[in-house]
Amino acid sequence: MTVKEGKVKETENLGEMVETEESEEPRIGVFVCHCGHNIAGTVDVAKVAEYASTLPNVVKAEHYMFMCSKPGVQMVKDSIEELGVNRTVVASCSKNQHGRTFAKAIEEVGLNKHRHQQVNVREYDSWVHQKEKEKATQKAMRLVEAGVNRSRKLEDVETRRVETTKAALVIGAGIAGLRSAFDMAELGIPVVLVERESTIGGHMTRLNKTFPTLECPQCSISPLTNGVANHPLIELYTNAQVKSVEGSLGNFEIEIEIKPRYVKDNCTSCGDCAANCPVEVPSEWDKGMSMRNAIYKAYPQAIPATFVRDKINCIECNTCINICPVQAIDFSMESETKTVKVGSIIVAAGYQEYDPTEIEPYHYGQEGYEDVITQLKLERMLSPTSLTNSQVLRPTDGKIPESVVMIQCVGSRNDQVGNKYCTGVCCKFAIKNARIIKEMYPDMDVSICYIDIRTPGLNFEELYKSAQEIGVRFIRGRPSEIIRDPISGELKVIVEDTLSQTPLQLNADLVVLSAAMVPPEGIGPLGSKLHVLRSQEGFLKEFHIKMNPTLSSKGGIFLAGTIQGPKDISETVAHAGSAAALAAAPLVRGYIEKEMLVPSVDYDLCVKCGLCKTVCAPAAIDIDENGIPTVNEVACKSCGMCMPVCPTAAIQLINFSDDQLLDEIIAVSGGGIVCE
Amino acid sequence: MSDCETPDGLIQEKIQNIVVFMCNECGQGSANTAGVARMGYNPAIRIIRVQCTGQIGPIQIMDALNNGADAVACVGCCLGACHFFNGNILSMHRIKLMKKLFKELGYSDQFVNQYTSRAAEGETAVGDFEDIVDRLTTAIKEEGTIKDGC
Repeated sequence: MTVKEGKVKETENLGEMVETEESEEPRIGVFVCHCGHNIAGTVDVAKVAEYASTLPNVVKAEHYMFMCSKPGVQMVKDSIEELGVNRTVVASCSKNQHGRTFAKAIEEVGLNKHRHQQVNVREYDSWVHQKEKEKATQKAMRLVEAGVNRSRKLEDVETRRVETTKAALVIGAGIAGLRSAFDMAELGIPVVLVERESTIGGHMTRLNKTFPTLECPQCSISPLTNGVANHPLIELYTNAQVKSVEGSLGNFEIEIEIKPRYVKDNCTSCGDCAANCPVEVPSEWDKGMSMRNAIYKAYPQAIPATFVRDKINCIECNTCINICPVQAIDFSMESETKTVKVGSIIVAAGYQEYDPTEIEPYHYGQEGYEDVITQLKLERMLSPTSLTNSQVLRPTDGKIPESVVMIQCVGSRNDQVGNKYCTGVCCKFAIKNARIIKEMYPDMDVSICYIDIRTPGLNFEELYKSAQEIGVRFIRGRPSEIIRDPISGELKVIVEDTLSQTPLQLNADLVVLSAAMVPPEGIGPLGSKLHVLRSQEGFLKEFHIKMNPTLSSKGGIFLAGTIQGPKDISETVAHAGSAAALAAAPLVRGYIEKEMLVPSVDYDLCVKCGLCKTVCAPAAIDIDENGIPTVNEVACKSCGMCMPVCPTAAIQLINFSDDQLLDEIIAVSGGGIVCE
Repeated sequence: MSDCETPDGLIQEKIQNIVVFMCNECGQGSANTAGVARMGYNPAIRIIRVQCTGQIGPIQIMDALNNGADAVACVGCCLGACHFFNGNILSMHRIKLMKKLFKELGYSDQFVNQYTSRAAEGETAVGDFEDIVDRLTTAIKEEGTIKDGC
């Protein structure tokens, strides 16, 4: 059945809707796929097809090399047209992979797509029982029989249009969030951009230079930050967090908590308040490489340019209030909650740098080891706006170090401590920074201790070569320890050069750890609010790693940038653009198609107990004053939880009813009643 | 309850059909992940795909056992991660009650179990399947199969 435009009729009795020509005799076509050797290598497909042909109502049973190929799909279509098959069963891969391919195919020749039953004999059978071919074949036969049984009673399910809210929410205003917000706004979609920090731009604004071309990141990102800040369709909330998320694809309702800045929007950003503030604390934005006041702007080019007051460190001396020429400072501001309605959500929460304190032998953050820093701190040191005036200085004594040692794979590629994955960008930024330092100080010893140098992609190998030519020393080996001479205070890096098999003790005035990218703090609570899956490593899990890396596990929620896994800036921008395009599609189109896979109530059986309402999580069942339940079809999420609680089995989910499941259970459990 | 000890090989032969109801989200997702990673498990495991484990009631479980299943298990999402709010917890309570019922009827309470898994990790599903088989083996050793009882 094709979609009927604007057909959102109020159906009182759902039982009527699903009534189809029940008198029609089921004619089932069974197709067993070889999937190359994936299935046929383990399962005797011919035997399975032969067995299927003996089952009642089966009019065609065949096996073919690749069912998902064009001839395979054509076979399914032909069987419908030539033999009058009205239900199809394809035994191949999972429903997620190719179920839709066949459902779409039978829809093209006039059958309802829910008449297709996908039997998974690859993931559930051939791939997991490769050593037990006989048993795998037996299992495949059972599974196919179950599919045929299930298929026999499948009913048509209508697809309806649900209108979408033309607005989007972007969480996180780093490079990924900015890119996707801007791309969607350019498509004419109003965007709500929520940022946890007081400024937008994220990690990219902190960098000194970007590889491989050594461009200024601030210059690259500022057209985007300004564009987003001034875009008429983008509502920007800084110091804000998502409080709750309700709804589903097309229609979300989100509560945003906006923390106060204590500075009103009429701030002219003159800086008089900060200049007179008596409090000084290490700047979080600058990774502790400089100081800021209790009223501050994170960095000179920060957007929004409005100053922000740090309530925790403020001593409330009121100097800033008195000195402000435009009376913008107001300590009485309170946090507010805002509710927005959007159609899709993009999560661009970014990453954070791995904290190397848990790697005990490197003594990061310990007393006496202040000269052990991370790459982001080095970036801040080298940056043109730094306190060191872009010189490399030792944090302990402020002198230019004679030797710098960089240690790769800190928190990456380690089974014992940190993470197993390769962050993939550390080699590139370490080489970039090593080259910059070596160019600035040609006499300095710059060494990189690596396990493997990974510089794939255009221009990166050239960057590696140029660093080698300029005299950066590459030592293959993971340092075992950083030790400190207790008298002189000098640091030494102990490493074995595994290429020449020589143990080395490298003098290091400054040690730079190339720390991994890890999921940002607070991603757990955010993930549970959004109801999206997380991967083993803690990042948000994508729908399909190859074919859909931007969709999350939940429809309508998309991932952009490093929240899905470590990425460099170019990859992040591409990823964010893809997320924006996917998120915008249902909003630009204006509707989504919802399958009316909803329960129907048999009012003759209903005893009006109201139990179905108590278990319905999306509150899709309404009970009127007479106690009669009705199902809200748009809100229903097709979970079927209302079924087992019903004492009279009056409420039944279409295509998952007790009757339909029974047939499948009989086949799967071996058939034949055991006890009478 | 059988008096004489059954050899392990015989027990393995007795395990022919284990019906596993897996939810559409994490349950079957983890089984798919396990398949993609080619993690082997007992071929007696037969998966039925349902929308949510909260959809499975005593009717389905009894139907399966009545039709020749040696054991039944429900595999849902992790607690707190149900894609439909709390279907896995409802199912857990239901299975707990079923276990009580089995005990009162004089059967082992290991013929029916509830598990959780994560779609991103195939190991969780395979671990669940191994546990089902282990528990069933022990139960058969001690009290015989469910078919012996009737």
